[in-house]
Amino acid sequence: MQRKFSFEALFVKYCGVAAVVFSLGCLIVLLTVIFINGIPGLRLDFLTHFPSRFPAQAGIFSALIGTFWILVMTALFSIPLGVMTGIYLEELAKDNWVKRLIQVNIANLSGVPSVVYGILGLAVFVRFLGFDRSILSGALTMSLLILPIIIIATTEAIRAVPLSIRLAAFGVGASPRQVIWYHVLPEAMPGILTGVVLALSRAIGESAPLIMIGALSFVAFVPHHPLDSFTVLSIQIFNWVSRPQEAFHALASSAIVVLLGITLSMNVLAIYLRTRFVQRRGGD
Amino acid sequence: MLPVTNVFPKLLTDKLTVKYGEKVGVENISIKFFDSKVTALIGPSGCGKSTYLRSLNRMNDFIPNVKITGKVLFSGQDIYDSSIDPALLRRHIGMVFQKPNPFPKTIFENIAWGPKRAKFAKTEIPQLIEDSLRQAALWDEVKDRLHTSALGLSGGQQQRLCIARAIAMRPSVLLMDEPCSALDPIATSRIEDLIQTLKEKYTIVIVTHNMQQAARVSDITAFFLNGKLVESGETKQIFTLPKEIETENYLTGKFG
Repeated sequence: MQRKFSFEALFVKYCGVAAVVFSLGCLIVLLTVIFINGIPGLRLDFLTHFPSRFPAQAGIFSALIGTFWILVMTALFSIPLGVMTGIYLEELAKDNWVKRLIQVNIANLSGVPSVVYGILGLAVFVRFLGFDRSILSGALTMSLLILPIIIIATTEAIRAVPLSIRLAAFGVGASPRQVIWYHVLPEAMPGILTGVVLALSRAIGESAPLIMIGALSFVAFVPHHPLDSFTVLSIQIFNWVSRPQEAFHALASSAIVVLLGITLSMNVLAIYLRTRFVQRRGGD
Repeated sequence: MLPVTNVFPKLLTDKLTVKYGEKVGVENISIKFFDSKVTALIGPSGCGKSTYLRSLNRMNDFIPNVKITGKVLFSGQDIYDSSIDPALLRRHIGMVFQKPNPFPKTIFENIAWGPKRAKFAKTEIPQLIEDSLRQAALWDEVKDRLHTSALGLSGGQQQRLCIARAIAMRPSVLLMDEPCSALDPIATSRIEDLIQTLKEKYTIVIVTHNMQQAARVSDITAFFLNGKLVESGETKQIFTLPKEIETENYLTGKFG
């Protein structure tokens, strides 16, 4: 039998390859340019100095510390809330029109532009609740931004747990709570963790919402508590890129390398945690 | 006390009807299950035998829109009464499923998990695990690897592990939903032998699509068709002198 010529197969094959080559190529070019410009500026001084109007003395210390503040506080707010919401929606909520309405809205919220969350944060946290341009306002705004992602990741991960495991647990007389706690959650944990890390990586890369709530771009001190004002890496990068001097552009590249490094280590951490979880369960 | 064991049924259903929304799963089923007897539920696929089995320990509770009328009496108590906790009920009426479904944990943890939740004494658990595995004829094969993953066992071993897990709860009734359908003939015959020894201690209800299996392992057979109980009685009588023409047609292979 001669193979029939299939336009669809050809289309899928070559377009697929072209898409991969194109997107990977863009990424490689982008990363190369950034690394070439950024690596020379990566000295210890760069990490430990405050920003300055002299490029040779400028560093990212306050932005780095601010990023960690935002990261940790955002995680504190969004992970418990998001994961618990996901569990509630998937396991406990009655399947009726209210639940479906909520789910549709959460899916939509994950597609809302981040700058809109910034405006919301400005109105609610900065002005109405009076948290001012603080880390607290920033972290709460970021939490709103990534909550839908965490909730969706949690519900998807829970839905992927096979029914047979639940039935097995119910079969030996477990209560619904015990089934969720001892079987569904551990089984869904790798998926939840991946979603959480992806969401947090997004949070540290975002700048628009923080610019909206008025994070500063020149901070010559280290924030000491959640109500201090702050800056983060992405805003520092944005600030340096928008300056006319070449030297600041190189600094921006160096800061991008640092930011990429943080994101990458978070992903490594996620992979490590996943394998730990699989091993502890006795492996597959 | 009178020796009542074989006079009064351990478990019975009285005019039990299970509906999924408007669709009827099984209708008007009355069967009695006795201690130390194996009852086989047979019939073509879709006849409602699994639906019926799951209603005996309230496993149907997880299916939305399920409606149950009639009565299921376990030791004289209506299990659908609002005062009954279905989780507690399932400790007394254990279940083995169609496909082996061990937890993704160690062999030890697979059996220990249920008793731990039921607050069995901690010191008692190692012995309980050995006893359960011995009863399930699996002890010799796994005694040196209790702390390795249950997922490394063969299909037949996994299914015997699931049986061990069920009997570790010290139930009085064991429900088995086509326990051999995913197994090869050798593993199947081991499970069938096992059922013969287990019936001394438990009331066993087994669903099977395999008529020869029903003939081999059961004392009582109930034949289901299109959601209705056609007839039930001593297995010997059903297989040699069925009263109903549908039973005869099914057993002789005219349909099914």
